[in-house]
Amino acid sequence: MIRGVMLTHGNLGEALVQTAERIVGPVKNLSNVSSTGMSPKDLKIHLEKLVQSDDEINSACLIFVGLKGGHPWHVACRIARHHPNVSVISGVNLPMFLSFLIKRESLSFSELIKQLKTDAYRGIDVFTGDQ
Amino acid sequence: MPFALVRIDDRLIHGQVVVGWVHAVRPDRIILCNDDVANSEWERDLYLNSYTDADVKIDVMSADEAIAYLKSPAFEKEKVILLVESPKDAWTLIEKGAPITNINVGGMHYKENAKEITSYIFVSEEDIKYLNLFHEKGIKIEARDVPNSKSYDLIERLNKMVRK
Repeated sequence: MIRGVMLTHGNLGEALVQTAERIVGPVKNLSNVSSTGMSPKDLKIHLEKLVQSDDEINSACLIFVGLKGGHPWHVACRIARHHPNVSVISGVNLPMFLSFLIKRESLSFSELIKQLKTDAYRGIDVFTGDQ
Repeated sequence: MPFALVRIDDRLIHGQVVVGWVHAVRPDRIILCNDDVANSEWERDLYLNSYTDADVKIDVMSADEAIAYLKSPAFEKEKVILLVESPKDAWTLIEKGAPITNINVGGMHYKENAKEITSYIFVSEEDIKYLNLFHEKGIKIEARDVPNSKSYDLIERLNKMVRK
């Protein structure tokens, strides 16, 4: 199964996972990491350990981050650079994460990533009441 | 033009800078000054790819390149945020003639044998040495992570901690 790492500031990731669990039930094969208070160096060591087990079983791993250009994104990209089975997706939102949980067993890694980008956008819409 | 912001932050460019500070300061340019990043094409591209929703130029420069820019006419016309990784790197620029009068410290995260000043500032003996050098030079050093949070005099904090 394609594994996930939720890597965000503060409690954002934890809240996303908890919210998703209320919709699709308990989530497996997912690590939740908060970058708050961690130096780039310590965060890199921590992530490196997390993806090592994926290397051993040759499993793909997708790292979710909030902001492209944020500290978690930089560190995650440095990890993905040296691990061909690891990718980083930024701009995580609830539709994207739910789509990951529902579709990760039926799609290939590259198909899944493409699908997540589509589904993340699909959830963005604006409703305005009568003026 | 005097710097809009000179910031010590071990994360260099990241959310607090590209979103928080950019909107508070509205700079024309962000200069990430770090020799390691400047010397690695991959690292440089990584930082240059950072998201920002504002119209701001981002540059990665080595210390020498930054000094050359600071002495150029372009610097006189531009509002600049200068980012360095550590007090040591800021001191290198000051010694090379960078006109720095104020320093914001926004991120010096936990490392071994460093003392905690705030949740985002841990200082080693070496850091303290450089912070005192800034102080002796009359440079004001504040601790503040984001623009709308409280600003602390870092030297005052440091002195209080040493006295404890």
